[in-house]
Amino acid sequence: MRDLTTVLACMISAGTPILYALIGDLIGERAGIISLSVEGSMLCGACIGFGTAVATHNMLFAVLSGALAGGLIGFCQAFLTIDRKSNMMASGFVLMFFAMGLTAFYGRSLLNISIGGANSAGLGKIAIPVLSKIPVLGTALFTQDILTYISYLLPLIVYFFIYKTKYGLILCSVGERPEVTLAYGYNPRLIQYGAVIMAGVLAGIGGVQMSVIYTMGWANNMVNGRGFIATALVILCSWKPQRAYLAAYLFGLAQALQIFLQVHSVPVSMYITLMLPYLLTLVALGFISSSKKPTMPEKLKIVI
Amino acid sequence: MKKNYRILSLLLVLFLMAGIMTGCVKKTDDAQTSGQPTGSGSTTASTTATGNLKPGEGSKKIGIIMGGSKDDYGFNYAFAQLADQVQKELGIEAVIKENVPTTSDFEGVCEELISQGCKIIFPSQFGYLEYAHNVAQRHPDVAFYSFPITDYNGGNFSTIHGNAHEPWYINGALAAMYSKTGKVGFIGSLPIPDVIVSVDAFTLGAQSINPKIQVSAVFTGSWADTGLQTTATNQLLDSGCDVIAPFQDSVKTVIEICASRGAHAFGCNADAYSLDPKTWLSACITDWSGYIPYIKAAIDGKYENVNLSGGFKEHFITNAKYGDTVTPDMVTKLTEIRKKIESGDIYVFQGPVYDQSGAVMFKDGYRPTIQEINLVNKLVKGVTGKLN
Repeated sequence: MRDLTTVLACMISAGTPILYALIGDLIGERAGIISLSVEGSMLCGACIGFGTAVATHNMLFAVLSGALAGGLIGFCQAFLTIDRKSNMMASGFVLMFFAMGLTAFYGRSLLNISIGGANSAGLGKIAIPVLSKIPVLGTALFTQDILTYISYLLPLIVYFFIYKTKYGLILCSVGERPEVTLAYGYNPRLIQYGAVIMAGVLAGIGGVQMSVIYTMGWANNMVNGRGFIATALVILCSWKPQRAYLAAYLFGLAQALQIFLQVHSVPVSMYITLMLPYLLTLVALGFISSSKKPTMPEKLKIVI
Repeated sequence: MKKNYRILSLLLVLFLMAGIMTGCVKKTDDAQTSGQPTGSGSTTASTTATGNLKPGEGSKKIGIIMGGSKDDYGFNYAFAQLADQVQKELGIEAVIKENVPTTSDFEGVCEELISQGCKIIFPSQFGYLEYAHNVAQRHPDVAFYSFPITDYNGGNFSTIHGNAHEPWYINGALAAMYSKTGKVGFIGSLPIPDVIVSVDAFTLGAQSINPKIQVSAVFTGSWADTGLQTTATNQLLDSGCDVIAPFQDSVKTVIEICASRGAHAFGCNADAYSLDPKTWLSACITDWSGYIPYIKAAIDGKYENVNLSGGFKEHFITNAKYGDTVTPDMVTKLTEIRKKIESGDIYVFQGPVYDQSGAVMFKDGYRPTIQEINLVNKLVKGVTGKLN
């Protein structure tokens, strides 16, 4: 039972940064732009957010600054792909390398700074009164930090936004037929800008969660491909926000199992367990792509 | 749709062509730089001019090339300490180049250092050695000191290697004194020889204090994935470990997690005592004081090729400052063990050493040579975990 709690808790904490980036990129892709730059947004968010958390000991400021930093990278991606019509894959990659260099340079003074554990305000874990008493799930799911709780709600919010509101429909129309959006009286260019910047903002918050709460430290290139994984997982959840839970936590579970199998000396090769997160994603992708109903936004079909 | 495919294929072809062309350009570039110093007349003149100079003679600077940032509280931080020590004790400048990839880019960085007047070079990473060897052959008046053991050793390319298993043995003893649960965790990066020898020595050291101790080893498959480090630390602590020893580039995350959960942690390759003195136990670090005489000799023109590996006695490696919670009693015990290692009374891998399956690795009373120790590719009895 205790092992199950451990695995679940590790699954949640490993999956949360990815969940943020995934939902962000999903919004962007619904508007027809793939943001590989979410990797860069996460890095910038992690670096700036950690710096702010150390300086101010205030979670709100940390999240805001991380979101701003991620959003700026998102803005660069939006400008390059929407106004300059550059290849969205290429610009995403370039922005990732740009963010890597930038954070390595500005993050060097943060490398040897300690955040002071859970002592600082707003960084600790909060147990939700009744729910945290549920046997196995309580400690794993409902004794978490504030950003994780927000991430529980995020896919739901985006689900209602996309499927139940007028603005969600408009957002999707940009990804399908921008000329229809235009005829309807909205500016597709502006909406795309908003969606791509939003992708950066959410990825930036994911980065803050990763550096400030999950790993409690800044290290060079700490995101280590999680942004790219998130971009791939958007396809796995067929651009449907409600499936984001499945995709992100599948990856989190794989990471948790990767260590779990080693700790409990399960006779599986270490290299298989190291592959596990990618293996599971690949298998799941294989299943999804064979499903009959294609849901890919029309504009993306040109790119992919 | 068809049009798009055409454009896509055109782009691909262009991309491939660009790749081929840049590939060619790079190659000729390399050929030029490597050709110039050996072939052209100007450099033969310079070699004759410096012909009677020994490698490193009269060097005003030393060059240190590292793969990461010097503030990482890990492997690279240790090399930054070397720079400080050289500046303090020999009064010469140390030039540090950070974040240099383990590719042929190294040669360019190295040439730049040499042109700045560095005649003693420390290539810190294993991946540099091949390129460092190339540069060493082009510049016979420059002395290279490799930290990793390598076959390239010879001429102006020397190796001075610290035997990490001695400090790791002491770390193990300290871990066993600390652990109340009788279980300690080890977070390895990749199962390479250095890591395997370290976890084995760590276990043997722990067993010297508590024969029943269990070492739970996991590998993250990367040097600095802090997310995986977090997951590994949390799971090891949940499984009953109360002391964690990471073999990772950056250990800050592990120390922070242990601090927040009331456990204790070691460091790796650097003294990170100041990060959290209460959680910190110790670490295996390079003792540069053993290196300084060789650097000094090279500057004075008495360079000789060396291929050394040594431990406490040779002052090549040592333990970092003990944490605040380590009692004076423990320190006395550990100092005793250290003295015994120095005098040869304790030999870390002295037989009998058994592997995980119980088979004999080194038979009773046998003291394996350092070459044999470096070839160890099995985990010893008492470690749970797998290498493959």
